[in-house]
Amino acid sequence: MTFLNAQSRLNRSVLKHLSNASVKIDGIDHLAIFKRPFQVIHVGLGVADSRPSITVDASIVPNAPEGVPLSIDGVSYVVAEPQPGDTGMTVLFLEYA
Amino acid sequence: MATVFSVITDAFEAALLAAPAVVPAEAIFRARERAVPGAMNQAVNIQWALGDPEPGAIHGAPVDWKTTVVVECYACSTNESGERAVDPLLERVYERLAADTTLGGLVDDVGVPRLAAEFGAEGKKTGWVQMTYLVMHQTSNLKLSS
Repeated sequence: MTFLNAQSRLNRSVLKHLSNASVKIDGIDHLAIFKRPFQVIHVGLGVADSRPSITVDASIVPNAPEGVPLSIDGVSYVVAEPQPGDTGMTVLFLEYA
Repeated sequence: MATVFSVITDAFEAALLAAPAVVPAEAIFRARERAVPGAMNQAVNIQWALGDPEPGAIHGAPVDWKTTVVVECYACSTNESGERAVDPLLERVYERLAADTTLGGLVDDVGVPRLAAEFGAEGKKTGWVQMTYLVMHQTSNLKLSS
């Protein structure tokens, strides 16, 4: 088994066990680890907000993900900032749409 | 008895609250110390920032002041940039305060504000504009009341 195959199998297993959301991209549902921690936007005194993101299998991420619409549990978002890594998983920071 | 600085800040607040208020009353803050709540798509914060007396007043004579009052405009949006989101609020606040530059005769002039802006985004896009007013007014020499 090649390293990439092992990595892919491990990532599928991680998503299967740790995913807490289903993300719909181009009409297709995918497993995702969804987080939305409290965050302050640092303008003036600051404005309370949250920082939604999903961690997904890199193979499902479109080629130019910035601005791509997606839906999580019925809530619409767009991809604001993709953060690809070399682990076969990609973090997509989101904005409400 | 309140100082003239507090009274002037009150007058700024009252002008922005006068019907129709520039934003709902619960979204107008006075010297707020914490982040603006995320549930508010628009908010205003008003605070006194500096009192600068003209030097050389003769003992007992009135003192001329240049007092800095800061008005901050906040706006969040999910469908437009922070810059565009805050623009209508900036316009409303500016026009409201320009409509009576003496604050009902309380001061000589609030002047035209200096503007600074910042923008940011997390889940929502946010715009912030700081309006710095240099207010000309007087006090008697021995008191800070108007």
